Amino acid sequence: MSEKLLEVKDLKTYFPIQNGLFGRSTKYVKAVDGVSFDVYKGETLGLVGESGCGKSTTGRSIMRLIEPTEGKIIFDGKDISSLNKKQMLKIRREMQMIFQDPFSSLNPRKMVKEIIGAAFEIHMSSMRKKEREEEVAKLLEVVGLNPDYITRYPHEFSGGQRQRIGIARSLALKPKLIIADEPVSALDVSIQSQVLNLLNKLQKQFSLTYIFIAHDLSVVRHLSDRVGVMYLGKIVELTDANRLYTKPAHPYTKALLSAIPIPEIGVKRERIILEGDVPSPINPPNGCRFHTRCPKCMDICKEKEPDFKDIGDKHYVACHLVNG
Amino acid sequence: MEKTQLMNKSQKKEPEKKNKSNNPWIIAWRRLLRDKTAVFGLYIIIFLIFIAVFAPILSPYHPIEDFNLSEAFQGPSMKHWFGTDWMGRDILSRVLYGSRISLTVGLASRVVTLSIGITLGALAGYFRGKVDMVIMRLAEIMDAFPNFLFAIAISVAIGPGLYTVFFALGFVGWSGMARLIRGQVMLYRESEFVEAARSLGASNSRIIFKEILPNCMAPVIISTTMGISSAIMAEASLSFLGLGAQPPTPTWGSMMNFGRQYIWTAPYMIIFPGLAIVLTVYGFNLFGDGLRDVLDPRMKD
Amino acid sequence: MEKKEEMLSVKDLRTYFYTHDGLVPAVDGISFNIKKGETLCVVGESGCGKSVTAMSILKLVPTPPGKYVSGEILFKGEDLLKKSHEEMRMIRGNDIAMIFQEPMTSLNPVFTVGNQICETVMLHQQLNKKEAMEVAVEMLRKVGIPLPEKRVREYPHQLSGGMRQRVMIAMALSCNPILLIADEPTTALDVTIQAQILDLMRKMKEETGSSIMFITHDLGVVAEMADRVVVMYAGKIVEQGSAEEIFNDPRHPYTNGLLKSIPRLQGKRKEDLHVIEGMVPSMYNLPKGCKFNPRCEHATDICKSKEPPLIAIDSNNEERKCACWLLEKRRLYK
Repeated sequence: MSEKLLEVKDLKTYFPIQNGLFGRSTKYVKAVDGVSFDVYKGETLGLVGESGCGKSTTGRSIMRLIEPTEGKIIFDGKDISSLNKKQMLKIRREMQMIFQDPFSSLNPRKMVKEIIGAAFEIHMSSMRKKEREEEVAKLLEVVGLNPDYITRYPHEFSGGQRQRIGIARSLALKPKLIIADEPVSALDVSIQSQVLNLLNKLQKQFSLTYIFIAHDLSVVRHLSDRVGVMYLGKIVELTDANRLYTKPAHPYTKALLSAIPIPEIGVKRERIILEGDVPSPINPPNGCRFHTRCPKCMDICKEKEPDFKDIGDKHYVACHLVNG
Repeated sequence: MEKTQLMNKSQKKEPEKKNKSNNPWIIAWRRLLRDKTAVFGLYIIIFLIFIAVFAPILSPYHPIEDFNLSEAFQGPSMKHWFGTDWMGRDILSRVLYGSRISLTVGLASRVVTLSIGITLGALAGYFRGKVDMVIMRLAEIMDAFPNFLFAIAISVAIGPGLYTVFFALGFVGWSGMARLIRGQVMLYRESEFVEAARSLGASNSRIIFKEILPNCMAPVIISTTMGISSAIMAEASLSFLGLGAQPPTPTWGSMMNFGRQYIWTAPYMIIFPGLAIVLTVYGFNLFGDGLRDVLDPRMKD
Repeated sequence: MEKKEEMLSVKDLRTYFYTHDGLVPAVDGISFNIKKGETLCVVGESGCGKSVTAMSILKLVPTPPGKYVSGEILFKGEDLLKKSHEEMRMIRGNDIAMIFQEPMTSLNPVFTVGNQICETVMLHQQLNKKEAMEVAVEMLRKVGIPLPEKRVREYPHQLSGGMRQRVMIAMALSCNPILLIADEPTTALDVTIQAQILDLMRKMKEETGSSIMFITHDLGVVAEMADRVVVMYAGKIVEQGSAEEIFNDPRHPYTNGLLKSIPRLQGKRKEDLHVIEGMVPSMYNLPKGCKFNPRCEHATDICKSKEPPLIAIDSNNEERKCACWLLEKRRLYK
């Protein structure tokens, strides 16, 4: 595999819960609680998990949209977790984000040329207005929209088209890394595949590296080279996409995979139905976080947190069953 | 292949839309013009502005200099349509000139309210934390005083006069405006388009002025329109109490103040400026209601 | 397929909305039926009219702007569209119950869970408060809520999303309805919780023998739940048939395209998926002829001018229908 573009080391992002008159915080929501992974140049790393598992917070912490509490984020050989705002500005050209909601991610009061052009205004202030508009028009063509649309407002587009505009905005500065947070989950089924194909095409065209965050395992599988499964602020399993779906090792991954409804008739599958709900991230369970719902829970799981270990072929799992 | 097909399909729809503007504000404006009562309110406002601008041409007499004690207390006649006051001045001319003061007070006090309210509200809503706490505590203190009494207190403290009125009436409104803006800013600062701007590296001021505030304008416009009419009323009340623009400046409030003594003998002294106030307030309120319908709760296409 | 008794039949239903910006034919002449003890899935994308269909059955469409323009909905031999407000109130919750997508908005936040179930039970079953509360506890136990005696006294916000949806199901089933209408009941839930709820719904159906009309956009859920499937597009039914027929032998280009376009758990990765071009049409401005024609790769002249009728395509099976001009040219796809 090629070289690393991004290294995340023991990332923790806690949100204080404010209480009392003066907003002293005594409790924290441990949204991301010690996550480590690498992203290699040109690959797509998928992050899956259910709501509240911390996948979106992980993405936003890497972008420094949310300040991480602890840990290192090494981008292109440089630790960016402690950069100040000004130093960070340079890095922002190289990593961009695609957002989930095609409606709230575009400012309803701005024209497309202003929405996408903002990138040039901020980073290439010497660029003339005319040039800027030409660049925006080019970008619209790249994402499959009519370049004449630059003077339109977001309300004139459908959900799928809006998502294309969001993608064009993320491409404007020719970034190396794009973090896509649930980019297709708000779209209709028949529109999803259009956007997935576009993301695939752009990756090849501009040799992009993606972190693809989603809750839909089949969508993640389709786009990713490697996939990390998150549960309650931690990555529980991380491996090659094919391997994860054919030989899952963690009981949570297994349950998750078996729970996906498959659009086929007559395929009999073993179904693992997990009991109960995901515990609160304010007060996560001791030991392995999954032990409260795990069908194979052992005594050790309740006490000791399993290490995140390589069980061979770069297949990382955090489970006592596999780690022995 | 995919691209061209998409483009072809969307181009087909083009012609019907061509000549209409797609700006969300213009769309709202067009919808507003379909609302008959709002348009009526708008006509009243235009009419008032017209009068204020052309008062010197429209007035048959000068409101201050043309006094003639021998013609005092005349009822409405062909010579003096609205009658004359205790100094024999033409009430119609004074009412026409009075519109200048009223509209100026309405607008100028809103400018004061908006500049203080937007600045503090945006700071509080965007930065939260200590900034927010200090500003909101100030706003609460502000709200603990009845607005009008507070305006009187300011007028007394600075001394009466037109500029005092601008400031006093503008200042008492800031807390409400700040609260409105703060709520809106807090709503939008979490939205994905603001996150997108931050991930592009936009500065705080850029985010506040270019991303957030344009989205907060709808309720601000509504509350400002409504605010103009209450400022005009408040100005009349201040003048009525003798705290507004000083005589002989013709304002509707002070005209009523002086007319009060003659309410039984010369009721026209108080009726005509009173009607002018009612008409103005009515106009702004109708228009404001119409604005609320098209701008609130949210813009849809 | 064995012949089952029809329990609800919808005939030529048209529910239109008369809005500021024009006419929306949300449901435009659809006919289908639900048989005793079966699960009928209605699939389609946003705005295809699937939810309005469900609301029409319960006469819950706000009128105005909505209007039932034509059609009849026969339930127990009577036309629901002709029923009065009062009569419908007695049918809702009792004979026909509904579960919504957002349990938080369909539960009243100021009443306890127990109270809300009791209210339905007391309205329809002439029980006193105490007996009704016992039924409520029993129902919560049935839908797998731990410590039901404690939970009946809790408020909706104290429960997780999955728990709330269980409460909704308990409430819906508390009066033993003959038909349960579920509108995207698992869309707001996580996969593992969705699996729990689907499992529960299947069990409850077996136990009570009621029929389910299940509305969803997720073809995976359809495959899991459906006995029969109705596919809707832009206010019309484009195809209907048994689950096997729809998944293994889709006849309409839209159904076929949808099935091909979704990413699967096996097969090739990172390759281009099949794409249905264009976008879902605006209901204000529908294309002439077949509503799907601008996106259809097989569209011909007739598709652009004349609307295809929904006709039986299997002489042995009158329930297998499709609305496409191509069927004349026999099986083109697959």
